[in-house]
Amino acid sequence: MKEQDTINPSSLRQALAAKARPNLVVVAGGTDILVQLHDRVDRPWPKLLVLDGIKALGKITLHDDFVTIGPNVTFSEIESSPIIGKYAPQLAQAASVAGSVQIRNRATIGGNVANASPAGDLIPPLYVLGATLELLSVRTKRSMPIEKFFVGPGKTVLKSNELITAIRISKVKRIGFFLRLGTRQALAISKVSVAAALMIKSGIILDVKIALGAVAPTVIRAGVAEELLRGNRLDAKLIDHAAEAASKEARPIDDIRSVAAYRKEMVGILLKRGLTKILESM
Amino acid sequence: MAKENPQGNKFNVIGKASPRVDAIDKVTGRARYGADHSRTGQLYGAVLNSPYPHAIIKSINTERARALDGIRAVLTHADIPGAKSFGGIVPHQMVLCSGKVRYVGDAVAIVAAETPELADKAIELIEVEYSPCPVVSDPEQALSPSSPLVHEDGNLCAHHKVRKGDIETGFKNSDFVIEHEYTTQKVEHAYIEPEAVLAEPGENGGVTITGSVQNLYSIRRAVASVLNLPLNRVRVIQATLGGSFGGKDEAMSAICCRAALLALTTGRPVKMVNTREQSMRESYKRHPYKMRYKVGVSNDGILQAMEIKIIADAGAYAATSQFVTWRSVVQATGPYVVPHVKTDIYAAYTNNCYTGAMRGFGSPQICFAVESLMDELAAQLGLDPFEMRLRNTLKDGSITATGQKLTHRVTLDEALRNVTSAGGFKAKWLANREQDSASPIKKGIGISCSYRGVSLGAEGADAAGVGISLQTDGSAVVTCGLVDMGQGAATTISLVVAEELGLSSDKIVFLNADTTVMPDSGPTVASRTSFMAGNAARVGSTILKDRIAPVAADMLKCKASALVFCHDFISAGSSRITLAQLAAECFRRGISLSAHGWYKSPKTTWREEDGTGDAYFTFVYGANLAEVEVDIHTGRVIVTKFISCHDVGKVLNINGAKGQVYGGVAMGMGYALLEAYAEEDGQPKLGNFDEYLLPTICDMPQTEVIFLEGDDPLGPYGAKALGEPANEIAAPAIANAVANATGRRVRELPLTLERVLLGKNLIPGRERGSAMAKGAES
Amino acid sequence: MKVRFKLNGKFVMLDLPGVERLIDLLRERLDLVGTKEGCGKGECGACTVLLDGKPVCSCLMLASQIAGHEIVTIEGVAADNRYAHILNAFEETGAVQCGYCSPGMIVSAAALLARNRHPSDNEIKRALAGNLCRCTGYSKIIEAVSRAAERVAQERK
Repeated sequence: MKEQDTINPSSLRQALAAKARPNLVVVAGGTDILVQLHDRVDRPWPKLLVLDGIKALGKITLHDDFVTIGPNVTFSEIESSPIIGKYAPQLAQAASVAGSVQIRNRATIGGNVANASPAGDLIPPLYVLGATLELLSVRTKRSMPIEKFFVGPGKTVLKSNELITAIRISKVKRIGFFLRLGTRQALAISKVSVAAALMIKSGIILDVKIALGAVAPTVIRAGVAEELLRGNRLDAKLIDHAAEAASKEARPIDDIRSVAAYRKEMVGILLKRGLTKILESM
Repeated sequence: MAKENPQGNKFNVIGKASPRVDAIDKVTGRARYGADHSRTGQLYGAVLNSPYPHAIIKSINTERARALDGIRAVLTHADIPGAKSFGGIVPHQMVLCSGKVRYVGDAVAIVAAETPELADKAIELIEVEYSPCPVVSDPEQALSPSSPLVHEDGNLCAHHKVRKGDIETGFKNSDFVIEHEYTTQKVEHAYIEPEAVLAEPGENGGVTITGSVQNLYSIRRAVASVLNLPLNRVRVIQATLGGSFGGKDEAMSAICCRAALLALTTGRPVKMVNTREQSMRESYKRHPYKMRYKVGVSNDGILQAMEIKIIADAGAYAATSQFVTWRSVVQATGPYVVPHVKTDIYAAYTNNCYTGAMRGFGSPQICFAVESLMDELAAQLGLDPFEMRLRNTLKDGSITATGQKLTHRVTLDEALRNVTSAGGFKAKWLANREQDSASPIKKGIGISCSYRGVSLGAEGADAAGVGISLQTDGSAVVTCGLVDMGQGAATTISLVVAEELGLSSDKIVFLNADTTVMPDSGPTVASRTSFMAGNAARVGSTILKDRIAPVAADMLKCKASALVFCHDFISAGSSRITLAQLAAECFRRGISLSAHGWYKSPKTTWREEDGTGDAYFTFVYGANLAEVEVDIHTGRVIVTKFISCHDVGKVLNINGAKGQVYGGVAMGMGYALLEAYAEEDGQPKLGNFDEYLLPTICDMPQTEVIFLEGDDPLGPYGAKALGEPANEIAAPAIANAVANATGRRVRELPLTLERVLLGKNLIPGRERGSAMAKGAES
Repeated sequence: MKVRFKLNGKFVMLDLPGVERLIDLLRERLDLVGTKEGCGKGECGACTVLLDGKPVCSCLMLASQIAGHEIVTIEGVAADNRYAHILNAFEETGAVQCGYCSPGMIVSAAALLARNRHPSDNEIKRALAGNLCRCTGYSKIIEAVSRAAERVAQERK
């Protein structure tokens, strides 16, 4: 892999200008792209646009109504950020269980989103936190809810001249969780993951979002389960119904990491465990 | 043999916690492994593997690859000067294939280039036309007459049998007969260092190979015959080995022959380093077994008969399948007295990745079956698993399944008692069967035990040598024909020499094995190194000591028998001299300061017709206990506690011994819960550690190690073996604990979450990678 | 492109030929072969080095990404007296067998002890979860890191 070149911009402007050229592959931390390089898929390899030198994209910023996370923010930074811990504990939880210390020190939130893996651990929490992505090109700027970003495994609506420049989440306080299952107790890719965010007042669920990872071509919302929960009092029976509904909404496949039947069942188990813990803490 | 240590049974260094002799080099990063060796002007080798598991090669065109700048050689089978194939038992594995490829690790062409990138590029430019053949992927079907043939002379690779008593009588004498099938998976050694070699053309027209080699002499034989060179012109030097576990034995022949061929063709050093993917694709694995056990037992819990049929997948080539399956057939009944035995084991050729030696060597599979079975029998009879075993275990003077009378001290019951009492087995085992139904987390406890023949047994010639060269300053160089692959042989052998000559162990430099220095000592396998090389080191030390002692006696004006060699001094009463003074004096007097110790193992016997004989000269015994927590809603098994007890005869180095046990348990845990090398129609479904999952530090339980020192008159200071016993019974202890927790028996490994929950295997999907990419991304 | 960075305490200026992994730069061009490659995919941790004090996999970094940063390899750790306790503890306890994972393991341990002087067993496990070992079963490695921490604590008293 020595013949190709890399572009290492130090500002967003330079990066966007470079991205206007076709066939550039973006590297943030590199923990995914270098794996792909190693596997030599997609040869000959195009030029690499390396973003991690752009300091401005590596910040977590508190605004009046929302929090902005730069795409270069690493899993380790998310894991230890007091701001994320306060406003997006599910995201902190997900960041803390992914990969190893070495991976978390390099892997970025922007990379995790752009890579569009249905098993990407940060994506389900971003779904339930109602995250918005800011996409910039030299000439255009748009933002969209994260759920609109993914088309399929590894496929997104990002245009070839665009970069993810910010991830925004609201500061509205919700309770929630992120739970996952992997084959071993560390350094495991999720077989199934479930994230949830709820707004509960006097025992009644005012609002709820549930996202499921690794059970469909993209991360998906469990809309039916959410509908069952919304407006109702959280109790054991309701939890069972919601878990059953979510299980039905999952559309997993058999692959090297698990089998469909198992994944489907586990969606219900994880959702039930998460919701039960909330019920018990009420 | 050497005289007893003059301080009685108290040793100076043996049995203590000694640091490894190579630890400093390893912790500082100074140790040089295969890939760390480079030479000026070296070329880089690369291999073209077959994309098909079974195909006829119609044509090979290397023109475009040859035309590329910076390519120094592109070679195929036609360029091999000597034998076209190699193999320790059946020499049929092709260095470079002609005619037919039999698995996807087969190689068709090799190149040497100025850079690794150029070598890869040249590989892509080689055009091979194949005509695919039907793929044989199921070993059972491979043995049916209608199966396509992997090898022209049939798909049966090995068949061994054991016959004892009369099986029909045995079943007639039984009150219960149960019959079950147990299955174990194919697993990879997963040494963290992938294979790497550097081949250099020698001044004498020969070749020198430095690399990650476990068995120097078999590599030398293979390279010499392939290159048509006499043995003395092929020099194989062991680089520091980054783990092996049986895996860098015969498999290294292929890469070494190829690198040597490229080096001699180009006249330049050639380096070949496998990626993890190449390593997984090419290197042999542990045999998957399908084992059918029919067992009869009387009401009092005494085993009456065992009828066993085992099918092993040998993959594309024989490698050590004949020997692996032989150990299985000898030990297939487990460490129990069974009056009537009929065992047949078959190994079949398929187009899967071939299988060979891996830590355990045919025992982890049968241990899983027998030890699961003993628990199932116990359940039938209403006995607890400990009691069930005690009624049947081998004891002093027992006769094994092959008719061998055990004349040494049999410590199996002691091992079982140790783990069950340390783990509070019985009370927990009973309590676990009535657990609170509200919680999904269920506790389980399980035990297992085994006996294991030490060293090669009736497999073949069994001898080893150690060289000792005392220097005039009182330091010493020690070397051995067996290798340190991480297990600590260098340290153990150094300690024996230190003990015998009264040297401090830091005065010893241990040289990595080199075929030009030491005679062929056979392979570093079968947990034979402490025993064989330990004995050879004692022999060598004694020869040397007997030679220098008279000089010391002369210097100290005493009788040689009054001398004490200790802490770098030789003393007689109150007067003493240093070992350095003695060595210097010997040198002045023209007395040789070097000695070679050679040790040949005691006799073993074997009759292949009915599988009887004294298969091994001695055995070791061990027992394990595992405690688990099973989440019955997700199928997750967490091993919470492990106790491992082994009779090692005598502990030579407590650090090294404990390390062998901890590592053996970890590998056994991977076998029990995580690891599986998945293939589909001969194609590997995974290639790296992201999908072949090893236990991490977070997966390991707290482990307690108990050593029994049963003492064996044959071993050095009574020592026997440990490396493999430590590994072979971890998985069944865990499986038995899971059954205790869930009330359900799983007869297939590994116990993945899916299998524990659904009882269903994890089927590798055809859409691998399309839907599931990596979790933490850039 | 030219990069300037600090390597094992010294500033280095290098010309990068193109896309190059950090591990290849270290091993092939700078002869720092103490850093090992086991998988090339960030799964085994044998190639762990410190990037500004944090453990990272050098097989998953581009050489160009270290411009302006500080890299410490096992050779740098071994030469630094502050880490002597870790090396000694690995040697004494038997935490080393084949040793191929040891450099990465020690680099990870060095990063842990630099920010946490009294790690619990669980903290040690979490910090070393990205370093695979096939020989030792990890028990002695946990013991070695604990022992190193104790020694450092005693010295500070």
